[in-house]
Amino acid sequence: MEETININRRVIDKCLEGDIKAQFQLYKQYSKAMYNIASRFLNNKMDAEDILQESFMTAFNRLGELQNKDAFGSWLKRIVINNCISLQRKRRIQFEEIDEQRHGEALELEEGMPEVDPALVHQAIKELPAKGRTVLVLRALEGYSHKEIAETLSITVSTSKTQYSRALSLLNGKLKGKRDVN
Amino acid sequence: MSTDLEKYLQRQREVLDVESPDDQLIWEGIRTGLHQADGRSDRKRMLIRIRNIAAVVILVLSVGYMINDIIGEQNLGRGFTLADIDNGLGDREKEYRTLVSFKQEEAKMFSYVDNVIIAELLEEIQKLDTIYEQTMKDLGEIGYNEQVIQTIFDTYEKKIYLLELIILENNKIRNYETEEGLFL
Repeated sequence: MEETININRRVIDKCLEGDIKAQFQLYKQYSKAMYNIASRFLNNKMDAEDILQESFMTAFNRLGELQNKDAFGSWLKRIVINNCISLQRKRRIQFEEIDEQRHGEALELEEGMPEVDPALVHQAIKELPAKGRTVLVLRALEGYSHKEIAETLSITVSTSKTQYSRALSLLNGKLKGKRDVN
Repeated sequence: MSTDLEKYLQRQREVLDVESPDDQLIWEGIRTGLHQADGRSDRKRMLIRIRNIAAVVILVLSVGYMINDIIGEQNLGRGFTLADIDNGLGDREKEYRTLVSFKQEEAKMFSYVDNVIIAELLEEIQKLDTIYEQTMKDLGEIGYNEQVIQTIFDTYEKKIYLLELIILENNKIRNYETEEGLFL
Protein backbone atom coordinates (compact mmCIF):
# COMPACT_ATOMS: atom_id res chain seq x y z
CA MET A 1 0.00 0.00 0.00
CA GLU A 2 2.78 2.38 1.06
CA GLU A 3 4.67 1.44 -2.09
CA THR A 4 1.63 2.21 -4.30
CA ILE A 5 1.32 5.64 -2.69
CA ASN A 6 5.00 6.38 -3.29
CA ILE A 7 4.74 5.27 -6.92
CA ASN A 8 1.73 7.54 -7.35
CA ARG A 9 3.60 10.48 -5.86
CA ARG A 10 6.51 9.92 -8.22
CA VAL A 11 4.17 9.62 -11.21
CA ILE A 12 2.33 12.78 -10.21
CA ASP A 13 5.63 14.66 -9.81
CA LYS A 14 6.58 13.58 -13.32
CA CYS A 15 3.16 14.64 -14.62
CA LEU A 16 3.74 18.06 -13.10
CA GLU A 17 6.91 18.28 -15.18
CA GLY A 18 4.79 17.55 -18.26
CA ASP A 19 6.00 13.97 -18.74
CA ILE A 20 3.53 12.44 -21.22
CA LYS A 21 4.44 8.84 -20.28
CA ALA A 22 3.63 9.55 -16.64
CA GLN A 23 0.36 11.13 -17.67
CA PHE A 24 -0.53 8.02 -19.65
CA GLN A 25 0.42 5.82 -16.70
CA LEU A 26 -1.90 7.79 -14.44
CA TYR A 27 -4.64 7.67 -17.07
CA LYS A 28 -4.37 3.87 -17.38
CA GLN A 29 -4.44 3.46 -13.63
CA TYR A 30 -7.72 5.33 -13.17
CA SER A 31 -9.51 5.33 -16.54
CA LYS A 32 -11.62 2.21 -16.04
CA ALA A 33 -12.94 3.16 -12.60
CA MET A 34 -13.67 6.72 -13.69
CA TYR A 35 -15.32 5.60 -16.90
CA ASN A 36 -17.65 3.27 -15.00
CA ILE A 37 -18.63 6.06 -12.62
CA ALA A 38 -19.45 8.34 -15.57
CA SER A 39 -21.26 5.54 -17.35
CA ARG A 40 -23.47 4.83 -14.33
CA PHE A 41 -24.29 8.53 -13.97
CA LEU A 42 -25.01 9.22 -17.61
CA ASN A 43 -26.07 5.88 -19.10
CA ASN A 44 -24.54 6.91 -22.40
CA LYS A 45 -21.25 5.61 -23.82
CA MET A 46 -20.32 8.75 -25.75
CA ASP A 47 -21.18 11.10 -22.88
CA ALA A 48 -19.16 8.96 -20.47
CA GLU A 49 -16.16 9.02 -22.84
CA ASP A 50 -16.43 12.79 -23.23
CA ILE A 51 -16.58 13.24 -19.46
CA LEU A 52 -13.59 10.94 -18.98
CA GLN A 53 -11.52 12.92 -21.50
CA GLU A 54 -12.60 16.29 -20.10
CA SER A 55 -11.96 15.22 -16.52
CA PHE A 56 -8.45 13.93 -17.17
CA MET A 57 -7.60 17.12 -19.07
CA THR A 58 -8.88 19.20 -16.14
CA ALA A 59 -6.90 17.04 -13.71
CA PHE A 60 -3.65 17.34 -15.68
CA ASN A 61 -4.08 21.06 -16.18
CA ARG A 62 -4.84 21.68 -12.50
CA LEU A 63 -2.53 19.10 -10.99
CA GLY A 64 -0.44 21.86 -9.40
CA GLU A 65 -3.45 22.78 -7.25
CA LEU A 66 -3.62 19.30 -5.70
CA GLN A 67 -2.39 19.68 -2.13
CA ASN A 68 -2.27 16.03 -1.14
CA LYS A 69 -0.77 13.89 -3.91
CA ASP A 70 -1.92 10.73 -2.16
CA ALA A 71 -5.52 11.83 -2.67
CA PHE A 72 -5.26 12.01 -6.47
CA GLY A 73 -7.84 9.25 -6.96
CA SER A 74 -10.55 10.84 -4.84
CA TRP A 75 -9.72 14.28 -6.30
CA LEU A 76 -10.12 12.91 -9.83
CA LYS A 77 -13.34 11.16 -8.83
CA ARG A 78 -14.74 14.49 -7.57
CA ILE A 79 -13.89 16.08 -10.91
CA VAL A 80 -15.63 13.25 -12.80
CA ILE A 81 -18.72 13.39 -10.59
CA ASN A 82 -18.94 17.19 -10.79
CA ASN A 83 -18.61 17.05 -14.58
CA CYS A 84 -21.36 14.41 -14.77
CA ILE A 85 -23.71 16.48 -12.60
CA SER A 86 -22.88 19.58 -14.60
CA LEU A 87 -23.73 17.75 -17.83
CA GLN A 88 -26.99 16.50 -16.33
CA ARG A 89 -27.87 20.07 -15.38
CA LYS A 90 -27.14 21.19 -18.94
CA ARG A 91 -29.49 18.46 -20.10
CA ARG A 92 -32.03 20.07 -17.77
CA ILE A 93 -32.37 17.14 -15.41
CA GLN A 94 -33.91 18.85 -12.39
CA PHE A 95 -33.32 17.36 -8.97
CA GLU A 96 -36.56 18.87 -7.72
CA GLU A 97 -38.07 18.53 -4.29
CA ILE A 98 -40.27 15.49 -3.66
CA ASP A 99 -43.18 15.16 -1.31
CA GLU A 100 -42.04 12.34 0.98
CA GLN A 101 -45.58 11.31 1.89
CA ARG A 102 -46.60 11.06 -1.75
CA HIS A 103 -43.86 8.55 -2.48
CA GLY A 104 -43.98 6.75 0.84
CA GLU A 105 -45.44 3.66 -0.74
CA ALA A 106 -42.29 3.09 -2.76
CA LEU A 107 -40.06 2.73 0.27
CA GLU A 108 -40.69 -0.92 1.03
CA LEU A 109 -37.86 -3.17 -0.03
CA GLU A 110 -37.73 -6.85 -0.57
CA GLU A 111 -35.79 -8.65 2.13
CA GLY A 112 -32.92 -10.99 1.30
CA MET A 113 -30.43 -10.29 -1.45
CA PRO A 114 -28.93 -13.31 -3.19
CA GLU A 115 -25.69 -12.87 -5.12
CA VAL A 116 -26.27 -11.36 -8.56
CA ASP A 117 -23.93 -10.97 -11.51
CA PRO A 118 -22.24 -7.53 -11.07
CA ALA A 119 -22.76 -6.82 -14.79
CA LEU A 120 -26.52 -7.15 -14.27
CA VAL A 121 -26.41 -4.82 -11.27
CA HIS A 122 -24.34 -2.28 -13.22
CA GLN A 123 -26.83 -2.42 -16.09
CA ALA A 124 -29.85 -2.20 -13.77
CA ILE A 125 -28.40 0.91 -12.10
CA LYS A 126 -27.92 2.54 -15.53
CA GLU A 127 -31.56 1.84 -16.37
CA LEU A 128 -32.87 3.74 -13.33
CA PRO A 129 -34.43 7.19 -13.84
CA ALA A 130 -31.69 9.86 -13.96
CA LYS A 131 -32.53 11.68 -10.73
CA GLY A 132 -32.79 8.62 -8.52
CA ARG A 133 -29.82 7.02 -10.23
CA THR A 134 -27.62 10.03 -9.41
CA VAL A 135 -28.57 9.97 -5.75
CA LEU A 136 -28.17 6.18 -5.54
CA VAL A 137 -24.74 6.22 -7.18
CA LEU A 138 -23.54 9.04 -4.94
CA ARG A 139 -24.85 7.44 -1.76
CA ALA A 140 -24.48 3.68 -2.19
CA LEU A 141 -21.41 3.54 -4.42
CA GLU A 142 -19.45 6.72 -3.84
CA GLY A 143 -20.08 7.04 -0.12
CA TYR A 144 -21.60 10.53 -0.06
CA SER A 145 -23.73 11.41 2.96
CA HIS A 146 -27.25 12.71 2.33
CA LYS A 147 -26.05 16.12 3.47
CA GLU A 148 -23.26 16.10 0.85
CA ILE A 149 -25.70 14.94 -1.83
CA ALA A 150 -28.14 17.69 -0.88
CA GLU A 151 -25.38 20.29 -1.18
CA THR A 152 -24.05 18.88 -4.45
CA LEU A 153 -27.46 18.68 -6.14
CA SER A 154 -29.00 21.73 -4.45
CA ILE A 155 -31.84 19.74 -2.91
CA THR A 156 -32.91 19.10 0.67
CA VAL A 157 -31.62 16.20 2.76
CA SER A 158 -35.18 14.90 2.91
CA THR A 159 -35.46 14.86 -0.89
CA SER A 160 -32.13 13.07 -1.14
CA LYS A 161 -33.34 10.39 1.27
CA THR A 162 -36.63 9.97 -0.59
CA GLN A 163 -34.98 9.79 -4.00
CA TYR A 164 -32.53 7.27 -2.62
CA SER A 165 -35.24 5.03 -1.16
CA ARG A 166 -37.19 5.15 -4.39
CA ALA A 167 -34.13 4.32 -6.45
CA LEU A 168 -33.23 1.41 -4.15
CA SER A 169 -36.77 0.11 -4.40
CA LEU A 170 -36.76 0.39 -8.19
CA LEU A 171 -33.36 -1.26 -8.40
CA ASN A 172 -34.60 -4.08 -6.20
CA GLY A 173 -37.53 -4.64 -8.57
CA LYS A 174 -35.30 -4.55 -11.63
CA LEU A 175 -32.85 -7.05 -10.16
CA LYS A 176 -35.70 -9.34 -9.22
CA GLY A 177 -36.98 -9.15 -12.80
CA LYS A 178 -33.54 -9.86 -14.22
CA ARG A 179 -33.05 -12.81 -11.85
CA ASP A 180 -36.42 -14.25 -12.86
CA VAL A 181 -35.52 -13.93 -16.56
CA ASN A 182 -32.13 -15.58 -16.11
CA MET B 1 -32.27 2.86 6.24
CA SER B 2 -29.85 0.03 5.75
CA THR B 3 -31.08 -2.82 3.54
CA ASP B 4 -29.62 -6.00 2.12
CA LEU B 5 -29.40 -4.33 -1.27
CA GLU B 6 -27.44 -1.43 0.16
CA LYS B 7 -25.04 -3.83 1.87
CA TYR B 8 -24.73 -5.80 -1.34
CA LEU B 9 -23.88 -2.66 -3.36
CA GLN B 10 -21.27 -1.59 -0.84
CA ARG B 11 -19.75 -5.07 -0.70
CA GLN B 12 -19.71 -5.48 -4.47
CA ARG B 13 -18.57 -1.89 -5.24
CA GLU B 14 -15.19 -2.95 -6.61
CA VAL B 15 -16.55 -5.57 -9.02
CA LEU B 16 -19.27 -3.32 -10.41
CA ASP B 17 -16.79 -1.60 -12.73
CA VAL B 18 -17.52 -3.95 -15.59
CA GLU B 19 -17.21 -1.63 -18.60
CA SER B 20 -13.96 -0.68 -20.33
CA PRO B 21 -13.42 2.65 -22.06
CA ASP B 22 -11.94 2.99 -25.54
CA ASP B 23 -8.54 3.95 -24.14
CA GLN B 24 -6.87 4.61 -27.49
CA LEU B 25 -9.55 7.05 -28.60
CA ILE B 26 -9.86 8.84 -25.27
CA TRP B 27 -6.12 9.09 -24.63
CA GLU B 28 -5.60 10.52 -28.10
CA GLY B 29 -8.20 13.19 -27.29
CA ILE B 30 -6.49 14.01 -23.98
CA ARG B 31 -3.02 14.14 -25.55
CA THR B 32 -4.16 16.41 -28.38
CA GLY B 33 -6.08 18.64 -25.96
CA LEU B 34 -3.09 19.01 -23.64
CA HIS B 35 -0.75 19.73 -26.56
CA GLN B 36 -3.04 22.42 -27.95
CA ALA B 37 -3.46 23.96 -24.50
CA ASP B 38 0.34 24.20 -24.13
CA GLY B 39 0.70 25.97 -27.46
CA ARG B 40 -2.10 28.37 -26.72
CA SER B 41 -1.21 29.10 -23.13
CA ASP B 42 1.68 31.57 -23.74
CA ARG B 43 -0.24 33.65 -26.25
CA LYS B 44 -3.38 33.43 -24.17
CA ARG B 45 -1.56 34.47 -21.02
CA MET B 46 -0.13 37.54 -22.76
CA LEU B 47 -3.56 38.54 -24.13
CA ILE B 48 -5.17 38.05 -20.73
CA ARG B 49 -2.46 40.19 -19.11
CA ILE B 50 -2.98 43.01 -21.65
CA ARG B 51 -6.75 42.79 -21.21
CA ASN B 52 -6.42 42.93 -17.41
CA ILE B 53 -4.15 45.99 -17.53
CA ALA B 54 -6.57 47.73 -19.90
CA ALA B 55 -9.50 46.88 -17.63
CA VAL B 56 -7.72 48.30 -14.57
CA VAL B 57 -6.83 51.54 -16.42
CA ILE B 58 -10.44 51.98 -17.59
CA LEU B 59 -11.76 51.19 -14.12
CA VAL B 60 -9.45 53.72 -12.42
CA LEU B 61 -10.40 56.44 -14.94
CA SER B 62 -14.11 55.62 -14.60
CA VAL B 63 -13.95 55.59 -10.82
CA GLY B 64 -12.35 59.02 -10.70
CA TYR B 65 -14.81 60.43 -13.20
CA MET B 66 -17.88 58.92 -11.50
CA ILE B 67 -16.93 60.01 -8.00
CA ASN B 68 -16.23 63.56 -9.07
CA ASP B 69 -19.13 63.86 -11.44
CA ILE B 70 -21.86 62.13 -9.48
CA ILE B 71 -21.16 62.74 -5.84
CA GLY B 72 -18.98 65.78 -6.35
CA GLU B 73 -20.14 68.98 -4.69
CA GLN B 74 -20.21 71.03 -7.85
CA ASN B 75 -23.44 69.45 -9.05
CA LEU B 76 -25.50 71.22 -6.48
CA GLY B 77 -25.14 74.88 -6.00
CA ARG B 78 -24.45 76.15 -9.47
CA GLY B 79 -26.19 79.26 -10.76
CA PHE B 80 -29.75 80.01 -9.63
CA THR B 81 -30.66 79.24 -5.99
CA LEU B 82 -33.87 79.33 -3.94
CA ALA B 83 -32.47 82.27 -1.96
CA ASP B 84 -32.99 84.29 -5.14
CA ILE B 85 -36.76 83.80 -4.61
CA ASP B 86 -37.16 83.83 -0.85
CA ASN B 87 -34.77 84.03 2.15
CA GLY B 88 -36.68 81.34 4.10
CA LEU B 89 -36.48 78.95 1.18
CA GLY B 90 -32.82 79.89 0.80
CA ASP B 91 -32.13 78.96 4.45
CA ARG B 92 -33.91 75.63 4.05
CA GLU B 93 -31.96 74.90 0.89
CA LYS B 94 -28.72 75.80 2.68
CA GLU B 95 -29.49 73.23 5.38
CA TYR B 96 -30.11 70.56 2.77
CA ARG B 97 -26.88 71.48 0.97
CA THR B 98 -24.85 71.25 4.16
CA LEU B 99 -26.32 67.82 4.87
CA VAL B 100 -25.76 66.64 1.27
CA SER B 101 -22.19 67.92 1.37
CA PHE B 102 -21.58 66.10 4.67
CA LYS B 103 -22.99 62.82 3.31
CA GLN B 104 -21.04 63.20 0.08
CA GLU B 105 -17.78 63.47 1.97
CA GLU B 106 -18.63 60.36 3.97
CA ALA B 107 -19.65 58.42 0.84
CA LYS B 108 -16.52 59.52 -1.03
CA MET B 109 -14.19 58.20 1.68
CA PHE B 110 -14.73 54.58 0.69
CA SER B 111 -16.44 54.22 -2.62
CA TYR B 112 -16.58 50.73 -4.00
CA VAL B 113 -17.95 51.81 -7.38
CA ASP B 114 -17.22 48.40 -8.87
CA ASN B 115 -19.96 47.09 -6.57
CA VAL B 116 -23.20 46.56 -8.49
CA ILE B 117 -25.48 48.04 -5.82
CA ILE B 118 -23.33 51.16 -5.40
CA ALA B 119 -23.09 51.59 -9.16
CA GLU B 120 -26.90 51.51 -9.35
CA LEU B 121 -27.23 54.01 -6.51
CA LEU B 122 -24.77 56.34 -8.24
CA GLU B 123 -26.83 56.08 -11.38
CA GLU B 124 -29.94 57.06 -9.42
CA ILE B 125 -28.11 60.08 -7.99
CA GLN B 126 -27.08 61.06 -11.48
CA LYS B 127 -30.75 60.97 -12.54
CA LEU B 128 -31.73 63.09 -9.52
CA ASP B 129 -29.07 65.65 -10.42
CA THR B 130 -30.51 65.91 -13.91
CA ILE B 131 -34.00 66.40 -12.47
CA TYR B 132 -32.63 69.01 -10.08
CA GLU B 133 -30.85 70.95 -12.85
CA GLN B 134 -33.99 70.90 -14.99
CA THR B 135 -36.28 71.93 -12.13
CA MET B 136 -34.01 74.84 -11.17
CA LYS B 137 -33.99 75.93 -14.79
CA ASP B 138 -37.81 75.80 -14.87
CA LEU B 139 -37.99 77.76 -11.63
CA GLY B 140 -35.69 80.44 -13.06
CA GLU B 141 -38.00 80.77 -16.05
CA ILE B 142 -41.46 80.57 -14.40
CA GLY B 143 -40.64 82.16 -11.04
CA TYR B 144 -42.16 81.10 -7.68
CA ASN B 145 -44.14 77.86 -7.91
CA GLU B 146 -45.06 75.78 -4.87
CA GLN B 147 -45.02 72.44 -6.71
CA VAL B 148 -41.66 73.04 -8.38
CA ILE B 149 -40.10 74.08 -5.06
CA GLN B 150 -41.48 70.96 -3.41
CA THR B 151 -39.91 68.87 -6.22
CA ILE B 152 -36.54 70.50 -5.48
CA PHE B 153 -36.75 69.65 -1.77
CA ASP B 154 -37.88 66.11 -2.63
CA THR B 155 -34.81 65.79 -4.84
CA TYR B 156 -32.58 66.83 -1.94
CA GLU B 157 -34.23 64.31 0.39
CA LYS B 158 -33.94 61.52 -2.12
CA LYS B 159 -30.30 62.35 -2.75
CA ILE B 160 -29.57 62.27 0.99
CA TYR B 161 -31.34 58.91 1.26
CA LEU B 162 -29.34 57.45 -1.67
CA LEU B 163 -26.08 58.77 -0.20
CA GLU B 164 -26.95 57.09 3.08
CA LEU B 165 -27.54 53.84 1.25
CA ILE B 166 -24.11 54.15 -0.40
CA ILE B 167 -22.49 54.78 3.01
CA LEU B 168 -24.32 51.76 4.41
CA GLU B 169 -23.25 49.57 1.51
CA ASN B 170 -19.63 50.78 1.82
CA ASN B 171 -19.69 49.91 5.51
CA LYS B 172 -21.11 46.50 4.76
CA ILE B 173 -18.34 45.75 2.25
CA ARG B 174 -15.69 47.07 4.63
CA ASN B 175 -17.00 44.94 7.51
CA TYR B 176 -17.11 41.89 5.28
CA GLU B 177 -13.51 42.45 4.16
CA THR B 178 -12.39 42.87 7.77
CA GLU B 179 -14.17 39.66 8.81
CA GLU B 180 -12.75 37.82 5.83
CA GLY B 181 -9.27 39.07 6.76
CA LEU B 182 -9.65 37.59 10.20
CA PHE B 183 -10.13 34.12 8.75
CA LEU B 184 -7.22 34.32 6.30
